[in-house]
Amino acid sequence: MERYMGRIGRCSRVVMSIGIIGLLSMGIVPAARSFAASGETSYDLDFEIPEVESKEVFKIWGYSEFRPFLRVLDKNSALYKQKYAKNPQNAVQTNYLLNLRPEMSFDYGQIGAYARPRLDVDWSEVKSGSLVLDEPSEQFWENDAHWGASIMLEEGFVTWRPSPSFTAEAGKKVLNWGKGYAWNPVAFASRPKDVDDPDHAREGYVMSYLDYIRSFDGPLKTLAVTPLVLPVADRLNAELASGDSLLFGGKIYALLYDIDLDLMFMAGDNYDTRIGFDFSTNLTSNLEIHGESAIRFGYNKNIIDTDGEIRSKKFDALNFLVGLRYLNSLDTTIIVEYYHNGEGYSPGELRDYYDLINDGYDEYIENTTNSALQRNLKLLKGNAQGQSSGSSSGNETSLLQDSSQVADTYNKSTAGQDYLYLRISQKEPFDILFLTPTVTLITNLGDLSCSLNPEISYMIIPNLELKPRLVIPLGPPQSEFGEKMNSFRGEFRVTYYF
Amino acid sequence: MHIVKMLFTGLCAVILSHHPALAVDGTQLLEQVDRNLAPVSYEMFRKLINIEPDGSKREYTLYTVKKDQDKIISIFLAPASEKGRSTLRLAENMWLHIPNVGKPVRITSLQSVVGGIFNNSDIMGLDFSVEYNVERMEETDAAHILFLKAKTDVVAYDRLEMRVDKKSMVPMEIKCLAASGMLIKTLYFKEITDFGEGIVRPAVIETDSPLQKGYKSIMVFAKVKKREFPDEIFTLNYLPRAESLRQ
Repeated sequence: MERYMGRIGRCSRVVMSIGIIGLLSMGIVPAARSFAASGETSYDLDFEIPEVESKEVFKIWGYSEFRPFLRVLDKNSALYKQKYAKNPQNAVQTNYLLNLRPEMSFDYGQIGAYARPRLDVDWSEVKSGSLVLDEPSEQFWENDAHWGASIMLEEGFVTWRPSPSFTAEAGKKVLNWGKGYAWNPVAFASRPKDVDDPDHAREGYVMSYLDYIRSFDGPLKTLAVTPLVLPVADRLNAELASGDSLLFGGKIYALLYDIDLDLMFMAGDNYDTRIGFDFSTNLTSNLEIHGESAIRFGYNKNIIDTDGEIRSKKFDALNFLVGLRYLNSLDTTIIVEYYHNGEGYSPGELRDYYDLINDGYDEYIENTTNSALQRNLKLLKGNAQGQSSGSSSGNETSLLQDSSQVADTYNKSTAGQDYLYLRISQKEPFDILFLTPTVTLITNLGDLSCSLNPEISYMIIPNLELKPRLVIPLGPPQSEFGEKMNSFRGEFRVTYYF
Repeated sequence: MHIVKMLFTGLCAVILSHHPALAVDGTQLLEQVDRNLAPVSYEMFRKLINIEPDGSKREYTLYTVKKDQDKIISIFLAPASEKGRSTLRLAENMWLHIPNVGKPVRITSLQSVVGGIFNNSDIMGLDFSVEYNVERMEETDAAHILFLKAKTDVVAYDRLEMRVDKKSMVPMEIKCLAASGMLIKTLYFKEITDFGEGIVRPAVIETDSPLQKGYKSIMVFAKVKKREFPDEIFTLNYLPRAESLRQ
């Protein structure tokens, strides 16, 4: 509880600091503007629109992002103990990330092509381990203690569109299925969103697909069919299936009575077949509702108990989401979503996992202390070699090692079963154009732990955006967000568009 | 006798003001205004300029295609931070597609994809006659004044007061009102320009709002040209590829 209160104390100080900075910036800027506003508004109308003149066949644009961030580790959290038991770290960690995402397109008649490579260069106080990236990609400085770099193709595909009704595309592409803002249980052919940053660009999967569209008069205005195939191999869409495979899927879209409706499915070898549907519609001029649901047939869930025993449970997992987006007269946008993750862990299952880690950590500390005592005793007895210490080390970390076997599923984002997502953003408060403060609250309804994410987005000049943001996990011990490794994380994102 | 005459004249005025023939005239006039502002199917470029009280400006360039009374796509060409964004409107349905971020999401008419005073219904405006009924009409020497009422609750402004120039038969000024009667904004139509092919319309729409004092937003029209499009491009699936429509 002390740890929980301590975390809350730290977080409140951070929130207060952000608030003061926000109030200052929001106070100073309008003051400056109101002073300027006292003068006569004058402007020149330029009727030239240079972009009109010709359509370019080849175009390049994109953005670059610099993101310094600071993490404060919670050394008493289960996930810290699991990862850094043997290698304790400083409580405050700094990281710097610079990335470049140029976008290139070629458009000539019925043929088109698009590519978005990503170049990352980062410096971390402690590297968190490198990921195996899908091809095509290359990683650099993998063995350096602090520096890392990679280049990869996030998207790259060719398009053939013989008519407006028919399009064929092949290559690496982000295919966005689903209507949810924070989660998309029906996005069978996409990498999962980062729930802390759902708008951030993601890497695509390699696929081929067709798109056939028909429009009609009457209640059914649009019908579209999108069949697709995705190969799976080592470093090629590897996350999608448990082995080499060729996946088949598809989506049928209809705009019926002003309601967007989608039906989708995906199947193949080494893959749990999935089916799903989604919908979205505007109820009024400022209220939109949406929902989606998917079933994953034969999902195999690994559950670990407090002794480190893993058992498998096979069942058809139902995932669903309902949400709304509301805009009030003050230009406040509110997004609320409830998400049921049928593949997730109950509060009890998560508690067992955190107990296992804590027991494993205590066991490790105890064994380390005993080993040190034994070595000292042997030293005192004149046997300085301590031959037996190697044999005991195999058991020293056994419970922690057991927990690590299921860390991929237990430690991932949205590991629980029921979530409520609330995002409130205020457009241009105090008449400061292009400034949008936002607060997001992600709550695990099972244990009532949550993540509070305040942020401010400000397009300070055209094409230069500043975005300070915090991610503050809050919750008691043995809860999902209470056991996160970071007690908070702050970042200041600077994005330049070109 | 004088009182009876006055009562009779007043009664006639009330009856005539609610006469179906006048309502039809108003509707026909509104439809004529719609056609004078744009052909049935066309493409155009627009620059949106948001001007802040200190005089600083933000500009957006859009390519827009429209078909029939209720199908419209707009694609952002500039600035770089907005490039590739596209919006689709099919009657009262509106979607925004942001490249790299996600699928097209439904947006509402009161939101604004560019900030400033123009909201989505201003940027992706349908024909006025699709969204509004003519409640009554007044005349001055130079203008018809149409009092319009929204046909449904999902229309951005409950009422419009449209001042139509008798000579050119295009709007000169539109007051946008909430259901309470509160003035939300005023649109000023300026710079009547001949775009060719018989399209003669204001090239500039300027707006201000008592709710955002000191701010101004301007929409400049260019290269308004008749062009035919198939219905299939006005669909969610086509929206991410809509920029390929530019010739």
